[in-house]
Amino acid sequence: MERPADPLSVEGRLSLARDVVHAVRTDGRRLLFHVPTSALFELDALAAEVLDLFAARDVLGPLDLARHFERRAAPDAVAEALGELVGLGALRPPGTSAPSRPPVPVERFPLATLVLNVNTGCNLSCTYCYKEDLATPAAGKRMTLATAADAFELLLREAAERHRVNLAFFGGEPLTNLPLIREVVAYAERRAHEVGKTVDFTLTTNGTLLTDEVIAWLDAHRFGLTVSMDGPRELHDRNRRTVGGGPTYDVVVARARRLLARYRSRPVGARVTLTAGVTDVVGIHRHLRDEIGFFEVGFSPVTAGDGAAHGLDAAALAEVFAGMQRLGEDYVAAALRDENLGFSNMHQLMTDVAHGMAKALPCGAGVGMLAVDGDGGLNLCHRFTGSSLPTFGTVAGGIDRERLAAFALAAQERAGRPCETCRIRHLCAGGCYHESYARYGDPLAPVAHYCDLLRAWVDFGIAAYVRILEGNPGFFARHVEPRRAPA
Amino acid sequence: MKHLKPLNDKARAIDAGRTAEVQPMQTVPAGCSSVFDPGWEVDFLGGVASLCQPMEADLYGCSDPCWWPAQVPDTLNTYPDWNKGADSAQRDWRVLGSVFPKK
Amino acid sequence: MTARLAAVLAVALAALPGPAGAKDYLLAGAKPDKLVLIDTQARQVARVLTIPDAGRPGPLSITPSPDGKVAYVVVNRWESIAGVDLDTGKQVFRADLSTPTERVKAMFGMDVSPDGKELAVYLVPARLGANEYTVLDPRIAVYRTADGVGAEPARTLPAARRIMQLAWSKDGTKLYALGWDVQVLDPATGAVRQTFPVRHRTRDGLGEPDVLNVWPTWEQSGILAAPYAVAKLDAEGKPAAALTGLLTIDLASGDVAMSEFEENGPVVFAGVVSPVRRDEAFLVYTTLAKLDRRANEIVKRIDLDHTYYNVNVASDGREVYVGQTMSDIGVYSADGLKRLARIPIPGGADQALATMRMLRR
Repeated sequence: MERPADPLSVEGRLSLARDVVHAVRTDGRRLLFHVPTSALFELDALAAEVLDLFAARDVLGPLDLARHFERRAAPDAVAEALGELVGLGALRPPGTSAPSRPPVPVERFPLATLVLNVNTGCNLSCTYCYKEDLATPAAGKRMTLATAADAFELLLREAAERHRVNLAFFGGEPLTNLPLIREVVAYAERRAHEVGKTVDFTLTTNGTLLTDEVIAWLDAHRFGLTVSMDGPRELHDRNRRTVGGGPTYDVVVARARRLLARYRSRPVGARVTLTAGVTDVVGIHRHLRDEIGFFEVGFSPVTAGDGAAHGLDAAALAEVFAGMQRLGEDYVAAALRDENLGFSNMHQLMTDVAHGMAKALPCGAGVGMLAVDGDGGLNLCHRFTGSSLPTFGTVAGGIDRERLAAFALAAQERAGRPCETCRIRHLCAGGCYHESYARYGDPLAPVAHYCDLLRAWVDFGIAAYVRILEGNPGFFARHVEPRRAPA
Repeated sequence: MKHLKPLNDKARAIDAGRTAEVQPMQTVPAGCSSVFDPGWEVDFLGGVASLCQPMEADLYGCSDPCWWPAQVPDTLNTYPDWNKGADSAQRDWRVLGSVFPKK
Repeated sequence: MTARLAAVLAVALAALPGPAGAKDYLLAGAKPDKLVLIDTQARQVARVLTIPDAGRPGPLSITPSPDGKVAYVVVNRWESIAGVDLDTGKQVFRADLSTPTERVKAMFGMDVSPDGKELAVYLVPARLGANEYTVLDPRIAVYRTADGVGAEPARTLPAARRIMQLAWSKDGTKLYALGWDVQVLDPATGAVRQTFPVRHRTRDGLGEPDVLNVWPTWEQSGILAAPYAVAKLDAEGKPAAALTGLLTIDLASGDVAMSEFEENGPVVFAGVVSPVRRDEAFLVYTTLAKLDRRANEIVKRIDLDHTYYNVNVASDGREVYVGQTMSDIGVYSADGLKRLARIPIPGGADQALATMRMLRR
């Protein structure tokens, strides 16, 4: 960034860069969230006063500042504070704009993860399932070992510089094709060993097909497991039903308890889909974590097209986020006691704020991760397999790099979109592609229905972070950092 | 920065003017780290005249701080008992064993 | 039987009150947890002490207190400092450096203040995450020796990376830090009062000096002596020869000097200045050499039967001691570098990097 030679020079008129600076007040502290880098600073009284001055007036020159601070602050100190703010780009000459970050052309696809849709069939028929190609287990499209093997070879090739790769099994319900999973695991472990890499396995399941033998096998291969459960019986059974429409809570809870009692290799998490009528974030968390015993619970507001019966309307969405914040308050209180509340969404937010995550793309889909459908087609992520969004190559033929690169470039292009000046544009970066696609038919449409809520959520996260930093700074190293995936 | 106090990693990096993430290594390793040192086989001139004589004279002087991580386990951190019972390198080197990765 | 009797007699003799004046002793360390006190006059091991809770792989830096009663030793994988009473073998000082989330190693640089009250240690910390380490800035911890077992630092000073030696000035007002350059620190705050460039010293026709010096030898003469290597450059600026030099810090006067004395000579690890003849220095590695500092030339050199990392010299300047690496201390005459004795470490354990020091008691 360019600094004027002397901020108080005669020509040095400055104005506040509102697209660079987001001021947050919390607990009597004045914070500055630097939007381009996601750096977080605390302003001292002088810097805060300078910022307030500029916030109130469009343009200020050295005479205005001198007059304001006469007898209230030493000129050296004012110049110093100004210099620091100018250096950050928080103040700049009027009429100028922040140095634009050109979109990063994506030429290589440093894959870390491949998701395999091993069966589009599922033994349940949850009302809100977004899978366009869902079928019964017998009628589902099953992946063959040949396709899975080709997929793994593609992953090994594209992840040439990584030491660890991740293979995720998805569906439908992946455990309806356990024989294939076993074969793929054997193949992948052998091949990874041959090329000197480590392969990790993850799997999301509805839990109904977990037997003791399956649990033991998954544990032996150190699978990272997530069980989809929506909360206590009456909430869970509202949407998570068998093909025949019957309830599933009893079976799932029984299996989950056996899983949690036996599983040793990695912590097991639960994933909750919030829908109309299933919005009690605090109560669901308490049930799944404290009563059932999951290590962590993550919440996902349902992805739905407008008008879907289970969709979350504006009032319900607001209630969901209010619930997330209430649970977030509990999370902070627990963190101050050096306890881990196991609230995945908050962990992620804390990680992003603590690190200063500044993203050009909303997620790794298409760059660090691809999903393979039963035909071997390459999709942006597991949500898109079987959708009408065109694929980006095949495991046999390779990644269609031109189209995928074009997509990644388009995803970064924010000019003319509301994202351009949004203060969380480097944290949200446009939002989930599938969410946009389901709602607006276009994966690159900004998630307008979430924008205000996400901005409030980030502000909440910044305040929460600062409170934990103040009261128990060691919390992040002990409980939040361990969640980051190893390189 | 005097008037802005960094609160997260990014802010600290900006404050330190740090764009690179590389720090110079300490004088000697303290546990396994990459040292660009030819090793016991040859000295810096490619010969053997500047190596410790005999080689065993240098075994513990160099393996204790894990100077050559490829050849010796890290006794400072992960394999503290590697030379247990082998207090004299010249006399006891036969006792020294290989280590294998823990599962 | 005879050997056992001899050992018992040696201990009994050492326990007798010595002559009125203080005597020279060598203090060595041996694997895995031993301190060895050697009577140089009798050319015998006076005492072998086991350092409590020393762990492995072996002692590192050893710093005797000015009155010769206590030895401060870096032990326990370089993560603890133990202070051992050389008469009773009891631990009279202990600082354990690491915490569950921070792994702290003490690395060579350690010295006790001239009044014996403070111990400065150079620390290298890393924060341990669950699947990554974060390198933290190094620091100098200053302990009060009187704080005994469980001591916490009285103060912590910021420190530059790559510091190899810490040495207190004779009057206790300055702390010298030998790293890439020589820094003169304020022992109260760590503020750098002065810097003498070493690696950053530029002289025409010479490359960048290379110092690796982790063996303290200044206790007899009050002069920190560190050998170094520097390339002599040809007309095009390419290295044409390797020069060996000696860097000295006079801990009383504060003078810092660097001068080269040999071209394409053998590698030298440690050096010591004679307390009696200050223009005489001894250098060791695989050879033992005597250096005339005034003429700047090697006047005598012999081959040693094995490599020794360290060298020191008797208070009367008449004998030279070579030690560390393997399991013996060599005694040589300062005059003609004739071998006078070989003192084995009991049990044959290697000294490795345990620093050999001299003390008077």
